[in-house]
Amino acid sequence: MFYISALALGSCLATMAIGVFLAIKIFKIPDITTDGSFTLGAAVTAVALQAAVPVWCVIPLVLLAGAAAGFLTAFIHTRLKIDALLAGILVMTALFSVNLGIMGRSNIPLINETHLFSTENGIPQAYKPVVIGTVLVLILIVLLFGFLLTDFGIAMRASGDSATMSEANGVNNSTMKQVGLAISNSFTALAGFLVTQYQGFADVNMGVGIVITALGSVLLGDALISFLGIRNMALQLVCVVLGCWVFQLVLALALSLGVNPIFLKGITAVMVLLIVAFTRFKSKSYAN
Amino acid sequence: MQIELKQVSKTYSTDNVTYIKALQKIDLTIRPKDFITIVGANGSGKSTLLNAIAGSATIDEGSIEFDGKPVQKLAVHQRSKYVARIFQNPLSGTAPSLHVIDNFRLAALRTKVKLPFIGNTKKFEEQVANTIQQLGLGLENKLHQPMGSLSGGQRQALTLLMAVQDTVRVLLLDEPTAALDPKSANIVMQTAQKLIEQQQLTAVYITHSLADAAQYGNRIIEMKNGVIAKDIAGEEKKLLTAAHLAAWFA
Repeated sequence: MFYISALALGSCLATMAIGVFLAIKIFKIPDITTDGSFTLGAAVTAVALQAAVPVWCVIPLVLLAGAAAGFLTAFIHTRLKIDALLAGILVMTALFSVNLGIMGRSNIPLINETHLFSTENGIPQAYKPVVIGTVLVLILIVLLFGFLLTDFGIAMRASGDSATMSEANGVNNSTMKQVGLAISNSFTALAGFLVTQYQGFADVNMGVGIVITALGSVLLGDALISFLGIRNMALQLVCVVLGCWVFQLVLALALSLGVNPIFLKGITAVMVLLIVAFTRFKSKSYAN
Repeated sequence: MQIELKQVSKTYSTDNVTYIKALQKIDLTIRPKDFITIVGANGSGKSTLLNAIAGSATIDEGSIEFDGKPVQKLAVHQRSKYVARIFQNPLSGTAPSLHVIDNFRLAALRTKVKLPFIGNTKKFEEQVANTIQQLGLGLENKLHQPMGSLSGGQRQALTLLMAVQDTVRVLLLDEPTAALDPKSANIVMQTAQKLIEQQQLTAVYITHSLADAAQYGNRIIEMKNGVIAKDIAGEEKKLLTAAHLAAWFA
């Protein structure tokens, strides 16, 4: 059943879509550290699980690692005044070596290790990633929604929305970018954590081009948000998760129709291109 | 608050060949409760002067002191503890995607630390609704609409009210009504005048409207080519009319 595995992967990648949505739509920073921080999450997960660290203790480690990567990108961007895209590419590239260093080799299989999807908990094996992944991302959405409503959260949103307004009201925009990208990339690393356990191995190349998948999911989610005219932030985040599912379903559909898996990345890129082309005319935003 | 500019210079270069001397060794003391109007031709350095005080333009030479404390090294967000700003672009003072109430919440914390706690309480909302009511524009019913759904005039009027949500002593107004229709312009200036009087603010107000320049303030400054050409205060300022000011530009 291709759609079950598509939903499974979609659920595992959903936290990444939320992270990239935050960076691009809320904080308005084009961050592509994603490829690196996703694999970083995977590397930390594989090594920690191999060292028999309990799976619930791996989560904070993964979040911390992702946050460090995001902070570094934002630090380079704000302190050294380097373009955010370039800062992201630099960190992403450097992370390749870091990830290889953490893993010690290019691939770590998880065969005998106890992990999130290997333990018996009454959920049928095929649905485990969907259920656990979805529950995790829903918890994250609730926490994030609450956070964005606080005074600090308002300052963060204002910083992304209007830098002039926020600094005139005592907000340090550099700090906001650092915190923002730290949060965003910790979510991305969490997706690496889930995918590693879903596929049963970590690979140093597993993050290549994943930012495009994230972008496609965010754009689909965003199209849904403007189509339905959703203003509530929590529901907007839910739409992004739906976008992530749809993106994986369409990819899986293409493969089930007999498309050679060699062309998977090509199809991904073309899909994102189509989404951008069809949604760019509809996006509305307020004058600044 | 007393603001003191000593020998302040600022030069802009667009291409490393031509240089624009926006401010040339400016000496200016803005005394507490001064309401200064600044007039001058385009490019005379008015906005640069205001930006130098607010921190969005870094000065090349000289010093700026707030109550004797040098601030020329402080960033905009640090100086926002002392000064509130109203921009020439009526949309710049507010965040469009955020709700009206969120904009006010942030403004209420201008000089404070923004903590990860929810401060948008019912009580705060009532407070803001009461404040907004004085504009008489019915905006108190739009607290939960995005700021971007309001007009430029409405947003500029709200920016003014936001400026006084937190303790403020200095108000910098850079052509606040230049982009507004006469009716909105009037609302904004009336509100500004009222707030400055009520809260005894120190204010600096740039304008191209000679009628406004004559009407408002207790002191008037004319800028020309980056220097202060005229500085008139007290009774002499009161006697100035728009016609007198027009003669300055002849």
